[in-house]
Amino acid sequence: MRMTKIFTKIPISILILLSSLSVAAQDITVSGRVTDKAGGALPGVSVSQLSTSKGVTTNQDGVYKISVPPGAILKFSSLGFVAQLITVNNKKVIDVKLIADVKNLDEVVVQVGYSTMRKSDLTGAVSSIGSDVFANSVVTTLDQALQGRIAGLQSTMNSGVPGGGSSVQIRGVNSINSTNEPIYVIDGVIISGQTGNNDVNPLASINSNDIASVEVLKDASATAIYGSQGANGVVLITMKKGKNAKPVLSFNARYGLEKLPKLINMMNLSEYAQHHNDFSDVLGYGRRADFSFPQYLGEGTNWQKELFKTAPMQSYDLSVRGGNKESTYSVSGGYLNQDAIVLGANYKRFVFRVNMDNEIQPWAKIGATVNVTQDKQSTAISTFGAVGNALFQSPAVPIRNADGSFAGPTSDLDANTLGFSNPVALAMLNTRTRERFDTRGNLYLQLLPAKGISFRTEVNVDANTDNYLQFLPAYQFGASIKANTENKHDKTYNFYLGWKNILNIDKSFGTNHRTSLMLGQEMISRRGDYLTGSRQYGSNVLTGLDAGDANYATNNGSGYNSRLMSFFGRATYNYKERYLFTGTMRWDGSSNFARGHQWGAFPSAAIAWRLSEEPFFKSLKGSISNAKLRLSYGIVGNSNVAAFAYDSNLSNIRTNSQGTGLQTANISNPNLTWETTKSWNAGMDLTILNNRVELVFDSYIKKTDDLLLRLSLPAFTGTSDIPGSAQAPWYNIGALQNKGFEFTVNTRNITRDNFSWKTTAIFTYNRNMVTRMNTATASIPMYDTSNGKNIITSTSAGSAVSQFYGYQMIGRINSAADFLKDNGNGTSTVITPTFKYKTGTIINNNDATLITSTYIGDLLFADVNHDGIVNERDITNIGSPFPSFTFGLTNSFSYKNFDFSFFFNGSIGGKVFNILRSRTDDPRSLSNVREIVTNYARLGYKDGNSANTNIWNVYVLPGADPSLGRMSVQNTNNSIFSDSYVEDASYLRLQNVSLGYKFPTRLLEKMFIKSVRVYTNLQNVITFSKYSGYDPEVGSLNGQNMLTYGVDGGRIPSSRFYTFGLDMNF
Amino acid sequence: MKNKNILITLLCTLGLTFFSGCKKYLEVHSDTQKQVSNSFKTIEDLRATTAFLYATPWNKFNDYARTITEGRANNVYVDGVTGTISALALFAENSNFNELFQTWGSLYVAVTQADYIINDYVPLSITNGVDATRAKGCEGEARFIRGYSYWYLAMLWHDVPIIDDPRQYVLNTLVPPNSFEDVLQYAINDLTIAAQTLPATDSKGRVTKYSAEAMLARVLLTGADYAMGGRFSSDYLKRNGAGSNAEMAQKYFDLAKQSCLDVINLSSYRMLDNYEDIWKVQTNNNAEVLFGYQFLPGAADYGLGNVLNNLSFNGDVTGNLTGGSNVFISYDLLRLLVQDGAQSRLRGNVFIPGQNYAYLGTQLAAGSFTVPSNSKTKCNIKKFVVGSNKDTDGAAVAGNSGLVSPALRMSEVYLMYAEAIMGTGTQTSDATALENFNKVRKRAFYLNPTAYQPYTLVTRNDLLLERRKELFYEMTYWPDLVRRSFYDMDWTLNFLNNKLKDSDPTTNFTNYASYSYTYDPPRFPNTAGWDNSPRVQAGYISQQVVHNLPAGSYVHAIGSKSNIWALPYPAAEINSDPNLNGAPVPYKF
Repeated sequence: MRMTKIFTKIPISILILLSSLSVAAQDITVSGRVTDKAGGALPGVSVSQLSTSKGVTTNQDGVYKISVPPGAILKFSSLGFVAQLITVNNKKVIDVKLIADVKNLDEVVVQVGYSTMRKSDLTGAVSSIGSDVFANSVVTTLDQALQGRIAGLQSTMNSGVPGGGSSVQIRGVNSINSTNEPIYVIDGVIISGQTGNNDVNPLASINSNDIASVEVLKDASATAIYGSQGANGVVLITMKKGKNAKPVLSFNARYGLEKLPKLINMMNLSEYAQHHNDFSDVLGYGRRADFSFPQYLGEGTNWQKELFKTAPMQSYDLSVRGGNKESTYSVSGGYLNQDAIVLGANYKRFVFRVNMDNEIQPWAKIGATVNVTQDKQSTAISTFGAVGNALFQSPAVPIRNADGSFAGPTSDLDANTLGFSNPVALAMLNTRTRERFDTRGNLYLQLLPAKGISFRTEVNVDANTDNYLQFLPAYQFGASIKANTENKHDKTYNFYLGWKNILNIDKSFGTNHRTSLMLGQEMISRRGDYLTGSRQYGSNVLTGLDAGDANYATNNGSGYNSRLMSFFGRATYNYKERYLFTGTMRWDGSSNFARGHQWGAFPSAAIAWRLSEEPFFKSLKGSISNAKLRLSYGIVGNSNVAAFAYDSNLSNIRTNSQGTGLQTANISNPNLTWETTKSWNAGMDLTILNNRVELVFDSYIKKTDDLLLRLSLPAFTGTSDIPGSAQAPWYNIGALQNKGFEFTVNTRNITRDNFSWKTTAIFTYNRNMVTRMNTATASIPMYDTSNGKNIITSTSAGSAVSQFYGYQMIGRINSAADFLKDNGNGTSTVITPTFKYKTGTIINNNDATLITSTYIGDLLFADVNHDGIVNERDITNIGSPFPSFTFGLTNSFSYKNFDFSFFFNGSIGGKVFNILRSRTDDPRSLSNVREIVTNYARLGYKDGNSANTNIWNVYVLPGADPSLGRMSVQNTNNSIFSDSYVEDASYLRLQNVSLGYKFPTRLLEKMFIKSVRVYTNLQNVITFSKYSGYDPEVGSLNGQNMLTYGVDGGRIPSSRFYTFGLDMNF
Repeated sequence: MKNKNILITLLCTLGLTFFSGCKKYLEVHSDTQKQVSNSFKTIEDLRATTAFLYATPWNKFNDYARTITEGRANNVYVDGVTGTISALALFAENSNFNELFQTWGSLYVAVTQADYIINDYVPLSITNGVDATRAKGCEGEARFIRGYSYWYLAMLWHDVPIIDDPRQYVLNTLVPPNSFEDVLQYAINDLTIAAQTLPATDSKGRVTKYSAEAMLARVLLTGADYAMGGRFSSDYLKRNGAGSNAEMAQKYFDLAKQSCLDVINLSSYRMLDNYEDIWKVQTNNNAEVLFGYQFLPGAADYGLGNVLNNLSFNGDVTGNLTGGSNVFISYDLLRLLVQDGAQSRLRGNVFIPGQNYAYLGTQLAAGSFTVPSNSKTKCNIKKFVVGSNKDTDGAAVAGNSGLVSPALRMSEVYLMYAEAIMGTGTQTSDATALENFNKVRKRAFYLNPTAYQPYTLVTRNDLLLERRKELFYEMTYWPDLVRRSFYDMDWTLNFLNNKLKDSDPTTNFTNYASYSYTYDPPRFPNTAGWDNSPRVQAGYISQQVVHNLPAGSYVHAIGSKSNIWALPYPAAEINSDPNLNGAPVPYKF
């Protein structure tokens, strides 16, 4: 910067004169090679004679040649490296090693949405991660790499299937029914993070090897430029581009193995048979003949081991990037083939990408990008059924019969009532594949009519198709029978078309005032349709739809069409590099609302003060190189409602010979409009100890108002999930807020020539609270129907969204005194209420109905409302899925040519509602159960006479597990959903360990290889947690719905992953 | 530089042209669904909305409500006591039972979908110039459905909210239930209007004036029983111009009699000759069916199928569309059917070992299905099981039998007529009552007419038993018991608690809930088919159902120890509307 000032002060004519004079003196030619620390050639390094305009750049081999006076001083500089000054002193050859610099803030440019900004000018909360993170972590989709690496961002896998979905929240849950996923901006295309399906990941079309950097916009000052779409945060993804250099060919190859990190301890056949006999005895049925001698039955089939396997993964990427002054290009292709740990599941992906930028005139640039992805996800067993299949199946069912055919359950009861089958056989027979094809591209023209002014017009397109094929052939495994084949095909087509025009003006007034202005306009149209068809009675081998019988065909379709029109602008002002201001404004019009409610305005403003640039700070500058305080406020919106929710619609339903029937599809709300989130952010950036420690701290309050809520109404309004229901209306009702803070600390602990150690720590704290609902007592319940129709979570004013809901277990009746007071006359008075008896009820001690209602060995639940009886009015909040805080810690080391890093992430204070346990821990279950169920509450008799069922004669034998009830004839609510299934989900996970070795450059040069790195990587290495299920990281039970977050209904757990890889550059 | 200026001018012009189109850009219309505002200009739109009322809303009801009513009434028995049916039979149900929610929710789907038609679509159509008589006919269909639904709501939950227009409750969900008598009145009003506005005939499957009259008779008899118990409030009596409950009862019996007579004399509905033929896909919407759930033959669409093929004896019957069921007929009811000796009705209701069904299992090598002996101990339900894809000419597919579930049948009308004539008495020998009653009995003996003996006197108990046998698995016996309890609670309690076995020499009113048995005529020819040792399962004890709360109490039964024959409200519903637990309020008519 200072150089520039000097230049501007000395008249150019004099400069030219001086330089020509010096040429006239005896110049010498100096040459040499510029390398990095490891000896790798550095192309494009600027080599200039200090105080002159003379300069050259190094070529692709890092070699330069320059003529300078013998006493000249040469400056070697390149972005990202510490500049070096070397006096020529008549030397003819000067080789230089440049040391990588902690990026100079003034030079780092970050994406901020529709334009870029110098990092030093930022006033909002923006976090970035670079491509090195992707190089060090082996991920299938981008969201996995963000976990634990961006402060304020929480990413949770919803399914352990490769290519499967995840939930990403930035700064908490903002919306209740609407999506909580951020938007992703890739190649200018705005992709919603929302998917309705646990198996679908919107980021699957991105090859993480193509990513140059990721910026996450968190506060309103940063996101408001995306207006109505920015409510949940914005993730900007910058892809790698070509550069003005000799082409670099890169090749990456990876091979990996995945396995299930943990097994749940279920009963083996011998234990299961014993359990089955015990229950048959209680019920009074005869024992199963084949279970007469349980002790000799052995292990039986361990369905977990049969259904989960060690799965291989391989991936290859090839890219070429290069160009010249006028044109740069980047071409890349990638292939991934990953088996899932579940039998019969696989994921394959091809990604192909071309990018080109051309300077057609000094004042005009034109460029284009095309990204094509084809992927195929196969899951033979439905992903939501896989875990249940593995756990509940009877170990008495073998995989195969003696003749090699698939075996199955032997009785109708097992096959039809308990649902036993042969999941291994099903995994081999069934086909469920989802094949997608996605083309994303942009085309732009940029004009630079004058210095500091640019105008860009850009068209973005994203078209994708999704072909889902389900083929379920007929089979008979013992008593488990499927009579007819089913062929089902779904096709989805989505089309995104966006056009934007952006004018950028940068202008400085004097030396103290720098301003910029961006004005833009954007139109986005999203449309698509869906077609589904199915047939039955087809061939048992042909998967095509036409192979089925046309007489048993169904077909259906739907479509959507929504448009968004926006005008926006951003102005920045920088005074003396000390005081910074950013203001943005966006107007959005959405077709999702009725006329008159369509437009919303979303302003934001932010200021920052760079203390470190103040004159009074000079004395501290040695130890604190950068100190900045930031403050912002802004409003963002949300229009994610069902299309046409403002109008009454009639859906088309087939009828029995009466033509197409019309069903009232929804209750309308013509006044529907924008949901708005107001947010405040205060932050601080600090770089201290000679750039060794960098700290970014932010705290925020976000208040969401006019919450777009699909009301949750009683079923008597005809708006349940029962066939024929109308959909409940959307309303702008309710409010919620998120408060929190987050920080990132980057430290360079050791920076020696051949040894370095860097650490990055991030910390996220968020508190969510629903502040208002449609009525004071309103709540939004979510249900699970795996075991009755039970409320699993409830959202109501005064607490965070999605609180687990159920009874509070307070103990077990180990003897009559635990719930009765003996009246001494053969009767007792109830002192602790139960499901059947009110406090104060007098019961007969010998009453035979006690055994079917409340008896010794039954669990006791709290009478929360103190009405003397336990019933559904005592269901209450029993825990929150949201952690108190989450954190990530990365340590990277490099020693000579070795690099090593390990990454921990953790989540503390969250809970998981393990509803799977209501079946796996139920002593009354005839399906397989956990081994601990052996310790159910067995009953003993004080006088030794089991016929004496007087309640005071009975007690629970010692040794029973305190959370388990008795084995009763009738269901006495011992496995009702309660807090005994709510478990601490705190965990600390060694998420990633990687070790790499870079071959010395000298060895490779002869083989025309620039660099070779080999590495090994371990993912999900070890998890420290008390959680009894597979994995304490539990996402949403259905799709990305945050209202079922943290409910474990048997999601496929994340696998442990071992990878070996090779990166080569030519 | 000149090029540059031209380009910029061009872009600006383009931009301006485009901005002028802004308003249009945000105008988007649905390509897939009709919008109410631009529909109902023809009778076809209106008829399409009423056509919808016949299938989808009954999809879950057809399954879950049967579990509730037939399980509760001890008409069915289930192996494996972990199921919900046995809990219902033993009065040990829980408010989180999915059966409760699905049944409740289905009925309100029907109610609210009918509400939209009655409140909005019919007036809108008439305003749009649609023929008023035809439009009113559609209103009649909607009112029939609504009246039918409210009757079930009242019989199952007693006091329930009357939802005129669901949109009123969007922002206030704290709604107390309306009292039973007002729900009854509301249903009577709907069905009365339906009987006036519906056409006398319509295309197959749609309800007619006579369907409404038959259903009205059902509701009127319920009201008459309630009046016999002296339970109507003075407001109710005043509103209906009756001086006393006794007067009200007689009035309702007379009205019910007239309705039944209309159907019997004026309509073309009649009983089929053979009881078995009613439950064949080939006879969907036959002359006996006044109202049926119009499930779609051969359709695999969600919400349009009849799942009841899953009651099948085994996979042979259905060509493996389903396997064998664990739901059996109860000991008490099977004994009644066997003793009765009506072969057609026995075969039509139950799979009896040794019996051959020529029209089932036609895909088998034998060409038909014979119920195997020595295979099961208890008897599976035959009614609603239609067989394989081949048996049904392609109607039955996985998950859907293709059978239109009969929901209101002519034989019930004959029995209701006899009941209406008997009125407040305990027996009748009225000739037309006997004629109609015997008509139903005689048909039950279609296959063994020589065994048929006409009744010369019909008692109240005869009527109840006849209804239990004739209408097995058709969701009427539990409502019949509730009706009885209105005026004879002691009898109902004694019956449910199996206390009538000693006092009644014919043992026609035993109630061994969850009583295990073996019935296999080829296997036990010497003991009339019965295994000698029917036994109560260990762990089961005879019931202790009590009813000890004062009349008018609005506490709903949770388990066996509390009051009124009403099911617990679904837990999910209580959660969103805690006021359901409050006192019922009168409805403003």
